[in-house]
Amino acid sequence: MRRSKLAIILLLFTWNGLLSQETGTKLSLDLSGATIEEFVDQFETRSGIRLYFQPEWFREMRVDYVADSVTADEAIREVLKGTGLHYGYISSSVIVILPESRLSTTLPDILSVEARQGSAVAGQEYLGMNGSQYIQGTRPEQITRTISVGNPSSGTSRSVARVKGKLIHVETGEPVAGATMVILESGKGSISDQYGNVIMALAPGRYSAQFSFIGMERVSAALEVYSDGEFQLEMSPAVIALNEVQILGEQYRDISSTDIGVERFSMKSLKQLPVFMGERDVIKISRLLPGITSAGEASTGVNVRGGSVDQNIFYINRLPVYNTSHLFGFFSAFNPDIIRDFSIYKGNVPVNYGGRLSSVFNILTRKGNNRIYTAHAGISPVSAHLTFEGPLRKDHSSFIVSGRSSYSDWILKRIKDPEISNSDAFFYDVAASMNFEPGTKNTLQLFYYQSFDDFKYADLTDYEYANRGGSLNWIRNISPALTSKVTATASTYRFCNVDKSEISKAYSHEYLLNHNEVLADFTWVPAFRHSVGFGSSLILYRLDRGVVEPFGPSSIRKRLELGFEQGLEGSLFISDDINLLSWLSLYGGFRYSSYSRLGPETVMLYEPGKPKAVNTIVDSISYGKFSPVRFNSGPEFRLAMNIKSGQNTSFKLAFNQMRQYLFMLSNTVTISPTDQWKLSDYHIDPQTGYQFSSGAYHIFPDMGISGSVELYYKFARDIVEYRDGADFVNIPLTETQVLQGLQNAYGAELMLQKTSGRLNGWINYTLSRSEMLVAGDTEFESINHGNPYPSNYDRPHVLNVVANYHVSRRFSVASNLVYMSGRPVTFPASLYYIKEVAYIDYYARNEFRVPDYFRVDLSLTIEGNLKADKLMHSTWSFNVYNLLGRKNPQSIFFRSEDFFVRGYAFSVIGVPVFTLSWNVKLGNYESN
Amino acid sequence: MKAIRRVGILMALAAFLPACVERYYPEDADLFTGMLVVNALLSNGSGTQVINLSRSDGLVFPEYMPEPGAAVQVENEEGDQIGFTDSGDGDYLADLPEDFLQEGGSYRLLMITSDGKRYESEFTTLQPASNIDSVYYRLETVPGDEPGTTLEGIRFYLDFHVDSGSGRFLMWDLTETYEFHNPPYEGFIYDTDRVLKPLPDSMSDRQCWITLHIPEIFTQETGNLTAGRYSMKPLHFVSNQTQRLRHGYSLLVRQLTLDEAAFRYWDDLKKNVQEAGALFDTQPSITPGNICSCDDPDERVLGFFTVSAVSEKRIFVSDLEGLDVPDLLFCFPTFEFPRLSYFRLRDLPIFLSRATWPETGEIITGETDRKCLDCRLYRGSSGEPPDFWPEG
Repeated sequence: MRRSKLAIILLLFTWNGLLSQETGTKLSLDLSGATIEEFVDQFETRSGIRLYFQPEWFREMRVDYVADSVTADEAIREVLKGTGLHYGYISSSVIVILPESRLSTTLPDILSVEARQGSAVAGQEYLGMNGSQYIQGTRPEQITRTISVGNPSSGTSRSVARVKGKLIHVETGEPVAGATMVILESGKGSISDQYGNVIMALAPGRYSAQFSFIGMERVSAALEVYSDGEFQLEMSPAVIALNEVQILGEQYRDISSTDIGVERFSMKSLKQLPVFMGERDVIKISRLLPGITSAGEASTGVNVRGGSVDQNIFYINRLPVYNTSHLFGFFSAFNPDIIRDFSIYKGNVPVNYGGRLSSVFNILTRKGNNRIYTAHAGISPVSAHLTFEGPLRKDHSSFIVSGRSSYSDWILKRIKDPEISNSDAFFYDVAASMNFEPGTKNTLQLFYYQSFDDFKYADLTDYEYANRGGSLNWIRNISPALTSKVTATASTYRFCNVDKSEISKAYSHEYLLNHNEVLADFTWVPAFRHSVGFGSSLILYRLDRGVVEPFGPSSIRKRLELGFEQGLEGSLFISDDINLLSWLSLYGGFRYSSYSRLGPETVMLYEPGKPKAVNTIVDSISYGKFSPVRFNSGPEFRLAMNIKSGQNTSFKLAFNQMRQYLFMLSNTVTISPTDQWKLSDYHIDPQTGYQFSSGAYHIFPDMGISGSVELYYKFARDIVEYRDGADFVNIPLTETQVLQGLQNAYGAELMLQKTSGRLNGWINYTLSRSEMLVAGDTEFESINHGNPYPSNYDRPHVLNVVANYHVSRRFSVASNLVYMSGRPVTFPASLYYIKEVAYIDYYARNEFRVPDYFRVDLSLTIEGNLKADKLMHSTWSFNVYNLLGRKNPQSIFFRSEDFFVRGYAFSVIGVPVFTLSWNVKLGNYESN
Repeated sequence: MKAIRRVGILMALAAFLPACVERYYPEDADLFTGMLVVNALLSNGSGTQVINLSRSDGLVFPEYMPEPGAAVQVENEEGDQIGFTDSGDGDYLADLPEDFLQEGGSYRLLMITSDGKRYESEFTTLQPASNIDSVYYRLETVPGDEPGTTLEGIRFYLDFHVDSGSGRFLMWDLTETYEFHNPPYEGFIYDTDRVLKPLPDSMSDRQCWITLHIPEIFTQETGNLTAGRYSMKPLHFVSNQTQRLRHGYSLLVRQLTLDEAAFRYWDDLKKNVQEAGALFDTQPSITPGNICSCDDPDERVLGFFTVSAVSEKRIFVSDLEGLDVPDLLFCFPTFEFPRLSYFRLRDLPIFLSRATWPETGEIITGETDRKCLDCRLYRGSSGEPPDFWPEG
């Protein structure tokens, strides 16, 4: 540290006072997370000015400073901001930094450069964080950064400067999405999009900005806005320290934005939560949030705010995934290793999303590390996974590849029952992405995803299903005010089912769905506190519902084509997010969506006024290739309002309208993996939904607790329900098997969360109802005799408690507690005898409930040692799922046995499940 | 066999995961008891036709509740009516004239219950019969009731022909008959005279023939099949854990050809009671019948009026190769009983038997069930072999 030792020379200075010896020389600096030495290096080379100081004053300080054409004076002033240090010129090429504001000027001599160099004392370097042997448990006390945006010389010619920032992860270089930037002076904030961009329109001037995100260090910085411009800010992961772990949510976002009914996670923040069979699972975790439930352990998908499973869309990097489960819903099809974070929109959905009535799950994967090659791996009793990532070109492009595969067959093989030991269960998923940043204006992301499941039960049945797809995202910063994102995706879902239970009617059935989409999405910040989004999307659906083919030589099954379907969904959307008054923000969104069912197709026409059935067919119409069979379109309004009442409280109101053009054919109570997706058609109307929601949010900053209450009322039309005994494999005419009705849902969601401290977590309670009504003209066209009935997923009371306690940095304990009302079930109304056999008469649908669900999980996580210099770091997790061993029935059913009808309760997991899993990664505790 | 498939997945997952099925006892779920239940399945074969009327009951302690005193008639399209006479226990009998039930003819049921309420069914059409090719069996091992256990036995299979002329909706109705032997224990009776006497021969029978209706519904729709031979339609399974396969077993398969409405009714009923209970369960069907009340359209009547063409096949099973039918110890007398004089008068007579405990040779005399001495008392039992029973 040749220039750092000032102890002996200070007294020799002649102080020239705090004279501004502005030389007029402008320099550019580009520092992020730099040590003071690095700053000094860059500053000295670029300005030609020497700096003198005592390194102890800057202990652990990091410099983040990106500026174009600033004076040396401005630069040094910014860097020293907040340090309590002062500086002065000794000559035009020498600056001295001192702890006092004034320096004695009586000292006679000026030390020469040589002397200063000579005074450097070797071996006296301080141990910075990187140099220490162990990772420190506390964060750097003060991080001083200054961000200058725009050109100071351009002055304040405009009243508004468009400030665009890109937030990136310091270690991996990947964007930080969902982070908030808050201007403390105004309380106004912005949230980074999936590419890490934050956009704000600010009047030129000086601000204090705060950047924060779950699991990341909060960054406070001074923001100097001169004119339109961009900046980049690196955020570092929060050391999972004794004193702070953020789990979920960002308090400021709740208060400042017009978001309502939105949940966000960072995967990292969830790594201590108890899991089932050692598999961390975003969908299982989402079920711990208010308003999100499921039918039980073995069920695909989720029910969001009283909506059915097919009313949710799951995106992974904007790639739609149509079957999100492995092994009949026990695990989700997303490898947690590659997930960076995910958001769930269940209230007001941004206008650039549509197509499903209940919710949008938006999963974003990590970008590969663009600095070093690294790997993660892990093993649980069910599966093993491996992730490898690294730069393609350092700092510019990167890749990440991850795979997971089950090896669970050995469990089946150990069962004595011949039918079970002849069964196989297998799944895998792989995901890969590449990111390119050619220049500063463009970002390209290429993503591929595939999942596969195979289940063979003895010689009776084979199931196989797979998702596959890719997406290409191109983001371009057209100007600081205007950003475009263009996405092209192609997604395929297919399944194959072979039923060999009776050789003469054995069949195979293969189903295929293609979703091809192009989306253009623009964000424009025209003025102060004002952001406009607009764009358009086009989706081409191609469904081959498949052919039921005879299987094997003895099968006499008729070959049956279930049909090919084609549809085009288009949308135009525009939104305006404006902060009108300091206490009032408004979001107005409008989406116009349209749907054309396209040929080739032959449509049956039925006798008017009669139920649709094979015997009421009177005519048919044939449509040629790509000719429109039916056209539907309609507006979707998305409106939201935020009224702030002080720094810590806000109230929100929202109205949300959605349209859905495809649905799932399912005659089972829970969704099974062979349920087919189907497009709206000539007979089956698109589904439309409306939601009114309101919320109150409050932060108790001293306690680190935030609380919210959200209320919603939902109403949906043309929800598809199924006739008793509906059959989708033998009958191609779906309209004869389904009925359409109304859905009503309402609820109140209370959430309290604590995001800091040794003990953190959340408690939420949801009171809600979900009801269906299918009342046709005749009994045959009605369900439940035309009376309203609870939906299969109606759960009036739900309580979730998630608690995480950090005993030490290497050891933490976490627990989940889940209580839910039992799901509705149809009970026998009476019993009767025919030929001495007892039969059951069912009358009222879903009038009773299975017993309430209650479960406690526990996990212990033990981290490897905290040595900074090591090859790899490993983590052991010990999990107990259903600690109390409670038998929570998933269903109640009745069977006729001899002269009685016996009731049975089927619980999927009736005992505590203990699992141990091990994860390892290259690098130390803190490595990504 | 969707049931097999569903249960299959359930079992596999039960092995894979700690799933569990337990008995569940509903509470006062009986809501619509006392509804009229009609079982009227007329077939075009010869013999006496039976229509059975009863009332539905609750779930918890159900009882068969016959409906006496009703006037029951079957009417054809021409308005010809045939009355059925009450023979007690809810059964109403009639011998139909030979040409009354004709292929393609439509029929309905008319009833007036003893409380004066009138009921009628929709018209239902007699479908053309289709023939059974063959009935046979295979040795099989199936999963037992307890996870991890298995049961050995035989499963019956059926071959039939699907062609354009045959009915589209088939149902099979199975009746088993088997020879049954009571254990060779010496029997005694202790009656109100309070003297222990050997059981008279008239009250004792060791060899019987038991005929029972198989309480399972088997259905098959042939609309989705091409013409040809349907082989190996699985029927019911008989394990070696009863006497059924020991001394001779006979199965009568009646193949009924239904119209679509009747088929849907029986098929839904089958799904409700036989296939429920799996990971991906369907909603139980509400199974409306084809009989309604003329006085109150909202009154629900359970059951179905069906006319059906029938073809029959009987198979006899004896001397199974490759399957061991163990000689199970049963009806062994109670080891200890109080002094006979302790029995109250109203509990008499009691029956006793004397048996030798096979392992120790100890001779035990104790109370026994009367059926263990007189097999004719079992349900569906007769002391005489049926006509079709092979000699010897």
